[in-house]
Amino acid sequence: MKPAGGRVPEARRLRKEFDRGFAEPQPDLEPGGAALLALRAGGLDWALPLDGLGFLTRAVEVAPYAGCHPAFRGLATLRGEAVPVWDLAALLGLPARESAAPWLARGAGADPWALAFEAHAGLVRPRAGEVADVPDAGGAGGFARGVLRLGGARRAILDWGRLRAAVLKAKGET
Amino acid sequence: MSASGWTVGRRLLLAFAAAAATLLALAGLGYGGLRRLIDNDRWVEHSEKIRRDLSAEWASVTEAVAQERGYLVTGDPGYLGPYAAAAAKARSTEDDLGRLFADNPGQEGRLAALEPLVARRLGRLALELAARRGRAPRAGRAADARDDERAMDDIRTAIAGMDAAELGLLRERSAAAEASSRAERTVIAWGGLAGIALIGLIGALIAASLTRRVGSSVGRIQSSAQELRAAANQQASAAREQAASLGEISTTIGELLVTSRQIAGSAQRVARIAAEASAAADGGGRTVERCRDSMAAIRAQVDAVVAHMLELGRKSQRIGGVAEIITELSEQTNILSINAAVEAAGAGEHGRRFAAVAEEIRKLADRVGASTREVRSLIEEVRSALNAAVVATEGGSKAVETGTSQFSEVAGAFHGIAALVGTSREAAREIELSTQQQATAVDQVTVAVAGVAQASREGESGSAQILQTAGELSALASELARVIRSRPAGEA
Repeated sequence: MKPAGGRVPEARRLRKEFDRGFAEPQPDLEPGGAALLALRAGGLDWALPLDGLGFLTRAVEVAPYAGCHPAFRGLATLRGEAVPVWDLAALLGLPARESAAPWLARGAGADPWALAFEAHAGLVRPRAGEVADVPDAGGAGGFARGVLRLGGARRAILDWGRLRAAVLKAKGET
Repeated sequence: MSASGWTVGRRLLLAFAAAAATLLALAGLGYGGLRRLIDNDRWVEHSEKIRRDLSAEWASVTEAVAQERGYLVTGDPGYLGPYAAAAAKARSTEDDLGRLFADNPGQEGRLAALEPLVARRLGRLALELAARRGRAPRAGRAADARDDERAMDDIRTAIAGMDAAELGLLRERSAAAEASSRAERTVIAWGGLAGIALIGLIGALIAASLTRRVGSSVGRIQSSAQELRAAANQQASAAREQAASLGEISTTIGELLVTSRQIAGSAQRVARIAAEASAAADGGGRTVERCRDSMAAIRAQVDAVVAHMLELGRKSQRIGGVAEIITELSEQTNILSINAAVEAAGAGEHGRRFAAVAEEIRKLADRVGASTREVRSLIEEVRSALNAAVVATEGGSKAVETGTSQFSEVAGAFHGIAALVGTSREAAREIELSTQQQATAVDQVTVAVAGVAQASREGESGSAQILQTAGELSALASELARVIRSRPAGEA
C-alpha cells in the first residue's frame, strides 16, 4: 500500500536530494590530483591520488604465480590484458590479508600493473587545509607523499611513483 | 524306695504294724499259755471226773451189794429194785469210764480188769434169785461169803489202783499247769515289758522322724507363707496398678470413642464432598473436552499463520535478493563513477564537466547504496522478525499441540480424578461404617474394661484375703514349729 503522494518518504527524500544537486552551484572541482581514492590495506586506512590510477575494478580471479616475490599475487585479466597484481599491504611492509575478490587499482600508463587491497571508501575530495605534506619523504616506509586529515582521521597519501619503483625493484629481484 | 523316702502315713502304719505285731505276739503267747492252762484244767477236770466216777462205781457196787444182802437176808423183793438201779448205775459208770479212758490205754486195761470183777460179783444175786425161784437150796453159803469178800477186795483194789493212777496223772497235770502258769506270767511280764519298750522305741523313732519331717514341712510352710505373702502383696500392687491402668484405658477408650464418632462425622462430610468433587470433576472433564476442541481450532489457525509466515519469509528473501541486486548495481555505479572521475581527471580541463556528472552519479550511487543498505537492514530485521515469528508460531503450534495433548491428559486426569473421587467416596462410606462398628466395639470394650476393672478390684480384695490367710498360715506354722520344738528334752 503506497502512502499518499504515490511515493514513500525515503523515495521522496532521495528525489529531493537528487534535484537539489542540480540546483546547487557546481563545486570547484579541480581536475586530477585533488581527488583521492580512500582505501584500506593491511588493516590501515590509506589514500591514493587519481593521477596515477588507470581504473578501479574488482578482481574476478587472480591466478597465483608460484616462486615469485612475496608481494606478487599473480596475474589477473583486466579489460582483455593480463595484468600483474601486487599486494599493496605487502609492498608497504604490512601483513597481507587474503581476500577472495580484492579490489584492484590498475596503474595508469601502458605498462600493465595493479595494486590489490582489501576495500575502498570511494573518492575523497579534500578541502583546503585537509592535506598536509610529509616532513620527511620517508613516511609510511617511504611511500607517502602527504597526509589527509579528514574528520579527525589520518590517512597517508601514497605516492604512485614510489610504489611503481618498489614494484620494479621487486620484479628485478624476481 | 529307701526308708527316708517313706511318707508319714507309711511310717505311722509301719509303727502301728510293729506295735500290733508285738501285741499279737504277746497275745499269741498268752493265748497259747491259756490254751495249755485250759487243756490242763480240762484234763484235771477229766481226772477228777474219773475219780468221781470211780467213787460212784464203788458206791454203786457197794449199794448193789447192800441191797443184795438185804434181799438175801429178808427175801423182801423191795430190795431188788434199788439193787437193779445200783447195778445199772455201776454198768453206766463203767461205760462212762470206758469213754473217759479212751486216750489212756493203761486205765483202759485196768477198767477191762474191773468190769469182769464187778459183773461176777453182781452176778451172784442173779444166781441166788434163780435158786430161790427153783426152790433149790444152794450149797456152800460160807464159801460164797468169802468169795464175796475177795471179790469186793479185788474190786476195791482195782478201783483204788485206777484212782491212784488217775491221781498221779492229776498231780502231773497240776504241776504242768503250774509250770505253764509260771511260764505264762513270765512271758506276759517280760513280753509286756519288751512290747512296751519296743513300742516306746518305735514311738520315739516315729516322733523323731515326724518331728524332723514336720519341722522341715513347717519351715517350708513358713517359707511358702512368706512367699505367698510377698506374692499376695505383689498381686495386690499389680491389681492396684492394673486398676489404675484400666482407668487410664477406660479414659483413652472414651476419647477413642469420641474420636471415632468425629471420624464418622468427617467420613460423612468426606463422602458428601467426594460426591460434589465427582460432579465437579465431571464438569471439568466436559470443559476440558470443549477446550480441546477449541485448541484444535487454534492449532488449525496457527498452522495457517505459520504457512503465511513462511510464505512471507520466502517473499522477504526474494526482496532481499532484489536489494542485493540494487546494492550490487549501486556499487557498480559507484565504481563507474570513480572510473569516470579518473577518466575525467585524465581528460584534463575538458574533463571538468564530465567530472561533475561523474560526481553526481557517485553521489546518487552512494545514496542508492545507503538506501539499499537501509533496505537490506530493514529486510534483515523483517526476516529476523519473521524467523522469530515463525519460530514463535511454531513454538505456539507445538505449545498448542502440547496443550491439546495435555488437555487429553487433563481429560484423562479428570476421569481418573472422578474415578478416584468415587473410590474415595466408597472408602469414606466404608470408613464411616467401620468407624460406627468401631464405636460399637469400643462400647463393648468399655463394658469389658469395666468388668476387668471390677475383676481387678476383686483380685485386689482377694489378694488382701490371701495376704490375711498367709499371715494366719505363717502364725499357724510358727505355732506348730513352737509346739514341735517344745517337746521334752532328750528327744531327738
